[in-house]
Amino acid sequence: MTKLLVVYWTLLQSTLSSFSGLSSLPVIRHELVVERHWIDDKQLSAAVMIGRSTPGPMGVYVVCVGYFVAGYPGAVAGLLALATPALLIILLFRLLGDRVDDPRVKNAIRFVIIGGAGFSSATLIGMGRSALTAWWLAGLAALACGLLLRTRIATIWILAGAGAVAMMVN
Amino acid sequence: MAGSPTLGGLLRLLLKHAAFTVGGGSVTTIALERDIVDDLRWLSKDRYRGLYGLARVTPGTNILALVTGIGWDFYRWPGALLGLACAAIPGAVLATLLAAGYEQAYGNPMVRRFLLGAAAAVCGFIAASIWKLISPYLGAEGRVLTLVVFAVGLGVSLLGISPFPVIVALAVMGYLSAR
Repeated sequence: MTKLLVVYWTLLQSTLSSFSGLSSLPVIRHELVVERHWIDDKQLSAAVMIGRSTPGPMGVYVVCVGYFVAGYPGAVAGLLALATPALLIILLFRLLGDRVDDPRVKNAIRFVIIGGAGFSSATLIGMGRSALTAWWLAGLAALACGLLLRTRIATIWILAGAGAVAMMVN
Repeated sequence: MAGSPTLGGLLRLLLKHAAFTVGGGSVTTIALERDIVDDLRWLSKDRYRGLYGLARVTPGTNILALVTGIGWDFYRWPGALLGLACAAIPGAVLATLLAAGYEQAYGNPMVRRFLLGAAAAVCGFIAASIWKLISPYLGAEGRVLTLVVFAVGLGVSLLGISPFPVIVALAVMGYLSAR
């Protein structure tokens, strides 16, 4: 039980300290890999890979981390750590209330959205370096980008198609 | 506006995206906007973007904060809690099952090959979602400012600086610079 609480608290700290993508990773690695040796880097990488491959937020990799540390109860602790911070938006909602429509608040939100897109671009650069290792993979990425922008095809079908193409390419 | 959704209708939509939209939170944000704003007209674009802005400044996973906020906006606590559950649980269950079988699955060369293509597609999805997020702000009037703010976010992230103080600083600058 104590281990589960430590897992929950560690993963909660990591999610609370992050605002995008995999920025929770350094806290998890420090606590669970370097300090406690409860998982190794191979398992952490696998968790990140799984998080990228499944529907939903990439942050879902903390559920896998919880599983690798403590099995299914650990996965539940990871899910709770992933979900808990989302409730803070209700506090923000109550603080700001109808002022969301105020021009100054709208401009603040505009800055946050654009800056957030910059953060996502850094994630894309990091992922692109490891994922787009051949010209045809870059082509698949460009095609997926175009299909998402120009069509209403669900992302899961585009992803499945890209995977099928990769299986056929030598 | 076409009116509010039923709680069931809202949860079905959130479950659909939780189970079938891959590529991370930024991709889901855009896919949700298409459904909730463009097709179903449950929220105006301004309201949706306002909720998204709040979600961006909420610590943790932005897309979960966004769906919690959407649920709260329509149905207060039941909407927030059920929306959060619908958005978080399907991916978590799938991720746990994959984690349980990962050594066998990733030892298979065909699975690794499939994941190569899948990872490339995810890069494309993220690129598309970045474009969808910033393109509304690239009109002639605010283009330079948009590019500067974008570059700040990118630069800070590449330098490994914690995004939280930067996000807060951007929000304050945006608030103070509004005309």
